[in-house]
Amino acid sequence: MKVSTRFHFLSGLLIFLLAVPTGFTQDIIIKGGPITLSEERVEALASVHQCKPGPWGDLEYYYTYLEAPPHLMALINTPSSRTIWDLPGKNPIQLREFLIQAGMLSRNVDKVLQVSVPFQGGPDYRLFPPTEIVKSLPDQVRAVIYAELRKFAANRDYRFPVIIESRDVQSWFKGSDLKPETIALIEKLSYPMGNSLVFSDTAAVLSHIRSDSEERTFLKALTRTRSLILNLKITADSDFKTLRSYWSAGYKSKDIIPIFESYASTPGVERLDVSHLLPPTPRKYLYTFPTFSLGVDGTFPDSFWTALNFFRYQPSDEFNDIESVMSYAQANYLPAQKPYGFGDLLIFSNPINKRKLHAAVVIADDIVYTKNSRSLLRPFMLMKIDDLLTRFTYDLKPNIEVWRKVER
Amino acid sequence: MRNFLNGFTLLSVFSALFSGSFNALSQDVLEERSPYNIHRTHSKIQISVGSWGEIEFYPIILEPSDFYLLTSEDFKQSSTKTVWRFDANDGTAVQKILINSGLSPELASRLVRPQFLSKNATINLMEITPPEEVILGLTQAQRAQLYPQLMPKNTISPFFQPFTLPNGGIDAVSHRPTGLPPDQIDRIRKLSFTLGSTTRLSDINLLMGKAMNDDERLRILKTLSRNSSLSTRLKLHPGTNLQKLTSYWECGGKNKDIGPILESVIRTSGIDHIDLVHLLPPTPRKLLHTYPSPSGEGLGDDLPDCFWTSFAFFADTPPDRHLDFVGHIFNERYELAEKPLQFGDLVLFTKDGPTDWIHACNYIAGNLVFTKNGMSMGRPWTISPLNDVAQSYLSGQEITISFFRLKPGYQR
Repeated sequence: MKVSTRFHFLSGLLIFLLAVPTGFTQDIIIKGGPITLSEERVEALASVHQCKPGPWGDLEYYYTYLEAPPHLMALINTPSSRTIWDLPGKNPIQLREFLIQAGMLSRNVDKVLQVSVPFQGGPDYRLFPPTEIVKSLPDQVRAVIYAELRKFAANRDYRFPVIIESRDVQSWFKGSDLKPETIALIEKLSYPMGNSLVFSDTAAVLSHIRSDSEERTFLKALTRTRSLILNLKITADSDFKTLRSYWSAGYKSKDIIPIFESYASTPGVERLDVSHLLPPTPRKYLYTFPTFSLGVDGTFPDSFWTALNFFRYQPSDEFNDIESVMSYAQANYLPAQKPYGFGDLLIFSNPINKRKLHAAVVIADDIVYTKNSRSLLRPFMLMKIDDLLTRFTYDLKPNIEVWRKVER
Repeated sequence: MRNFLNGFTLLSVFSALFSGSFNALSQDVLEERSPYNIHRTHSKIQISVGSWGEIEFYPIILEPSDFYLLTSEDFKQSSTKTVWRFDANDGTAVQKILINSGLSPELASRLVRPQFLSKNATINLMEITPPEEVILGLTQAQRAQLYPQLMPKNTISPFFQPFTLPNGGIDAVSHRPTGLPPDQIDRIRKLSFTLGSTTRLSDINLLMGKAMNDDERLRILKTLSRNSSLSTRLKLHPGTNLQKLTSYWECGGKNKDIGPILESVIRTSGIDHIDLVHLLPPTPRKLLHTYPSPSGEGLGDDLPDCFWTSFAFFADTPPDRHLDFVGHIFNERYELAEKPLQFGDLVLFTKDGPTDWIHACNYIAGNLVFTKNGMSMGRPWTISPLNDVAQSYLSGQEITISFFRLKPGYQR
């Protein structure tokens, strides 16, 4: 029989009809259990970083790593532990020539070609390099081969590698529950790209994993994204007028004014989580992964949807279409002049064909609000602009336009 | 404005009997005025410990934005004189109402003289234009007796829809400087009256008439519209049980979106707290410490109220259907909550029987709830102590507070 959790209140008298739920009493933290923070917390990641001074105030941040939640990981099939290189358009002679020119040892090229098979009905070859050869590739050889692989959509792990912006593989995966030897193998297989290290050899690492749980842990760890938690330091000396003007973006984000003024007036608040200063829609999504309800009309949000809906109380799905995005931007935004500030729209485009690649929103200093790709495994988050740029510097540095919303 | 602000009708005396688990930790000193004319005032940090972890919180005060108040009816009509309107046939009947409200026979007799009393033929009501000293001279009891009888009984009448001040009246929210001169604060205190367990104010016209300029009139409205809320954050300590903490806040998968950030933060040493806003489900995370707006949630004059809010707690996006009614959802999806209370449990206030709902909010942890008090655009979404919310709704009669939970199989 269920216990009713119900109180009656009388004038000046409170009658508990039944027992008081323990929620109203002082629970005691239950010690022990399989995981405690003292065992698991990442010691090396806690350093606090300062933003440059500016109209945004005295900002500090620390990095934090987001991994896709279990219900999304359950949607991911584990790939084979066999490495696959798709290099269409080359016959065996051309393939050999390419691999040799990339710097691969002749005997290894022979082994790779021996176990490779042609696609049916065409000249294209799919290569299955043995794991030991993949592991033995020097960084520069790996970089050349993988740059070629990245040109073809079939090579997903090479086209969209895991980007380790900090270039420190050990700290990147700390706290991920991966075994040290697995982290060491990822480190060995990582290669430089732009300012970052990247990792593509999921299959090679899987070939060393023997348990299902470790396999899931590994795949989950690969979804890691470095975000940051941003705090505004408030003191009696803070220039509240400037701060209010900056964070309300010229009144475009007036919803935050009451809470800003309240926090500014309360000295117990020495650090205000900047999420309180975001407009309602980005605040709602910050640090979360897309929910299925966001894709109920057939398309999940991407960077453009995220950036154009920044100031909108009710997000509009018209921003899932790039033509609508640009049409709306041209009607409601103007090219921004420096200094750039809160809410300014960044649009990344290919410098040659002008194709729009990405959009993000300026928060403060060099920090932006972004959702990188439509993937369900990519969260809405805050990111350093340099970290974001790494994702677009595989081949050509993108052009970046800065737009500012105009209140009409 | 008052019609926006007023959400309460039930009043009574309330004893704050929730034992809670609070400890005052520190008190900061009053700091200097900033260049933006913001004082930094006292804050008392409190702690609540339980299966939710350790929550640290302190009171904050919210005011509606300038934009909202400058477009309010109260601001527009700030030069209007106070008029008492009576549904009475003649001066004798008006005099009787005044005496029955506790005014002395001499004063009642004076007020029905022709210099003060007239008949408004257009609306067929008797009108008194009381002198300022009479208004100021009324006792709390006289106001509480007289004002509810004044006409018309509509949302623009300051007597039918008075301002509802936070628990404790103006003194509860004026520790943070108001920008008003001391005599205006004294006047607000003097003109306030108690109805049940809440503090009301109807004499807005007198206050506005005393203001020196529009800036002061705006400050009056801001001050009367103040709401208390709590700034809350979860403290993290070595030894905190990660699984237990995650289990509480994810609430059986109903709030699973917060898993990544919670896990990330608690696995990173040196981070000793996380703001509770990150642990709320998407809808309350979006709404916390904001005010309704015409471009926000709601359809036309159907604005989000407490029921809309509480039934949308776990929803990714609140269904507009909740603006119509939520009774059918309650009947089919909810059951009485087993103890201990869980994050997101529906807290339902009823008056005359289980179907006479007067308020609803959602349980967060300790004695804290997420609440939207009334449909008003001047009421923000807040985190408040349940006993404060109960006090605001407690009438002269019994009210019942019950706790309900989504049945197994329902996620929202």
